[in-house]
Amino acid sequence: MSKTGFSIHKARKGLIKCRVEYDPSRKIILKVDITGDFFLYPEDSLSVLMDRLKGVSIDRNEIAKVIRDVFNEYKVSHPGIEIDDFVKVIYESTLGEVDA
Amino acid sequence: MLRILLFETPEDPRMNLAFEEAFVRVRAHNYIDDTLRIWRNRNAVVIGYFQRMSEEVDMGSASEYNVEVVRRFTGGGAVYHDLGNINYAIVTSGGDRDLTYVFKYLINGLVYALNKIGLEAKLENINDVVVGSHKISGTAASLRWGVYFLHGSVLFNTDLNLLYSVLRVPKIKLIDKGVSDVKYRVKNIVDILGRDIRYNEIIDALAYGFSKLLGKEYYFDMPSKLEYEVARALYDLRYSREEWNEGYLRFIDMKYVDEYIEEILSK
Repeated sequence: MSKTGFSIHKARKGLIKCRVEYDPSRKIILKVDITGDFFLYPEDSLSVLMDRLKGVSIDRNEIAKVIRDVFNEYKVSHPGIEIDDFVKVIYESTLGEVDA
Repeated sequence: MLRILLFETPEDPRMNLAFEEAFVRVRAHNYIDDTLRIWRNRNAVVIGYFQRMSEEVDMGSASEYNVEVVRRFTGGGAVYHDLGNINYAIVTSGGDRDLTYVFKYLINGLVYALNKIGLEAKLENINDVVVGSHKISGTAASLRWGVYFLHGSVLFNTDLNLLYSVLRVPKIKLIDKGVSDVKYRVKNIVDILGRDIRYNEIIDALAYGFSKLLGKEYYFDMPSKLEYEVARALYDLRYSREEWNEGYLRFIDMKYVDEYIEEILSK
């Protein structure tokens, strides 16, 4: 059984809205959908990040590692928004449940 | 030299945004000089690349007031455009600097322009242009296609009631997080200045501001055949598509668009 959670977080620059479909028994992320009014360059890095989060354990360190790796690989420029902002919103999305 | 384009399609916001991408890509191929574009929409909401229409726009209100929604290729937040809102877009040759630099540097063209019309404008929180405690402009930037690009909208005499009616305000309380968000402190420039301002005066001020910033003389020009051709193709392939404007199609889902455009540009 999968659940879907939602969380919203205000970074210094931009609001991040996040929906996560996850497997609560195996504690893994199945699908992540992030939207918002922030800036990231290159823009495609967010799409890559969402794909790479599939199958990752629901664990702050694991999530942070995936984000760090994508940001390094794509030399991501992210004014006013930090890796921890993304970790927070993704992790907190797995704490609750909303109607899809 | 700094080239200035006044090309606009106010009745067709999606063509306006298709042209916005087109002239940047034509600049990236060095067919044109650094270019400042000044343009308007009659009645539209423009959402950021990472946003979704359903989350940002009150669709009932948009349909009631015939507001068309279009998604742009840059990040940032949703803005409401009518003829009282002036958009500018500047593209220059690129380099190895990051997005923060592009904001910090290019936004000064707007600050000089606002000073010229008598406003004490300053930059706040990376990319908000404020006068006193009021936000009068939001900006977005990208380094896509290897050029420095910044565009923004400036509130001169916009219908703020309509703006508040069509843009959805997030339920989250921002103030208790200690974040200074000026989105809900927007104000029209005519109300700050206490006088009307003509479109020509704004164009002159923007031309002066960006010319001063870049240290280049400016000239007014018409779009090239190539810019029209690329804009037309981008309109058909990207900006007229509902899945794009709703916020679901991503660049990586549309690589065929880039291939097609690059083919036109390398002929």
